Amino acid sequence: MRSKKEGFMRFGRMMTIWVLAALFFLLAGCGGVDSPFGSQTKTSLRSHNQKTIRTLVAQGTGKTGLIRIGLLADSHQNYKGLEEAIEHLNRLPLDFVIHLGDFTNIGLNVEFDAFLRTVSKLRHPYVALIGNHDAIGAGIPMYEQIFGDFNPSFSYAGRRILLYNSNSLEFENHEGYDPGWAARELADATEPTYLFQHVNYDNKTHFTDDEIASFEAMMRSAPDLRFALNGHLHVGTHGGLGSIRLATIPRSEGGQYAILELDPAKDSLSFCEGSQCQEVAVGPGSGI
Amino acid sequence: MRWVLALAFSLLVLPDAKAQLGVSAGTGAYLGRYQIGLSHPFDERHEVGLVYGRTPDELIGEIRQYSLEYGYTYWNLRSGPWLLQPMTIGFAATATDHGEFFFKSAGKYNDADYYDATLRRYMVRYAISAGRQLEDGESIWLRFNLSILDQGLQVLFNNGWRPALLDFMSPGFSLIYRF
Repeated sequence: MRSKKEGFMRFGRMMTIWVLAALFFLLAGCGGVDSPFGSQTKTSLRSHNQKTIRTLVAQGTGKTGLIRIGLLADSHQNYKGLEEAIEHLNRLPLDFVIHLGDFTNIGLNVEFDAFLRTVSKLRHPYVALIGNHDAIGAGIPMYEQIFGDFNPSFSYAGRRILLYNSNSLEFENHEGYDPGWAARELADATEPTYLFQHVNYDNKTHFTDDEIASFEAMMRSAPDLRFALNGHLHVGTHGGLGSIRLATIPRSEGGQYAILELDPAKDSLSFCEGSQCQEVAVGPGSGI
Repeated sequence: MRWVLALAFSLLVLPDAKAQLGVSAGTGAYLGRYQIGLSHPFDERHEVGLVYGRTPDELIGEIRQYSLEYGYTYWNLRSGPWLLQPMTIGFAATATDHGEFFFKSAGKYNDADYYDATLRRYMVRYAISAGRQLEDGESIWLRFNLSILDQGLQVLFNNGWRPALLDFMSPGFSLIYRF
């Protein structure tokens, strides 16, 4: 009798082990992100900038007249502010939106996911530059996989749009920081040109005096560079370099964003917070 | 890494002969895709553990993680040989030795703390465990873990923005054998 009971107990114990082991392997298959250090993300987005640019180029061919570009920068972990800015951008008739980088704090895979979840509420097509904070940890390969090329450029409605990766320090051990690309693009552009970068070209942490002077000379000698806009500094600023309008786009905390209006009669940049916008920089129109 | 070794030593050496140890295999919850662990329940409520995790990564190569976890169990329920711990709350610290991550920003920046450290992360954890008592005080457990990463708590604190928190949580499971 006793040995029969012991047999049942042994059987019960073995069954328990097998059921728990089977449950373990079943449940283990449906996890989330396994490690915060890797490049594993929940998104299936791949080469997003390239795909968006292809669509924009097709839509912009033959288009003339006013175009409006929404600008976001340095959202970091301000998802609430970013969403507020997106709500306002969604109410405006925009052609597309550019995020000037730093959409994460420390380039974590989970931060990429949180940004993509928030920015997916944007109803306009958007492209995103890589910021210095996005380029640490596994950020560089993740950005390349999700967004694509670090230095894309395209023509839209007769204007040349240059998206330049200016994160010199973070790309010391990676390919993708290429001032030569900016030099060629600026020199070869035959259309009114608009340069977007994350780190300001005259940032003394990221660039030597010689590099700053060289980039300045490059911009001055560009045939038709109208605006050079950056993020990184968080606070909106504006100024000029000869006929080139320079500005730092304010971070999206508090629902801040900017609008670049390119009109045949004039180009203008406005800094906005919520529904309130203020024109801060004006340039001559392209006549297109 | 010194604190990890110190804890490993204390887990292996300090418990007396009657103290329980646990070995585990697990996955997810930010401690790595493939994990093995060693734990020591001090009593029915308090448990500390060390976990070594590996995560293959197609873009930056394999990630190795070293984690230290602590859990406090609120209830221990028992029905015959069946055991249930419906709520264990705790925290974990994890670090990697992957070369892309750092404690201090590289010297090329003006400020050594230009960026926050990227190679260590902290998390709060919730676990629910179901187990079965075996003979001689041995038991086997299946545990569901949910980790919320420090960055997620920062988002919640700074933004009060709960939707983003979803991306800073990770579930995981572990199978534990206590003896």
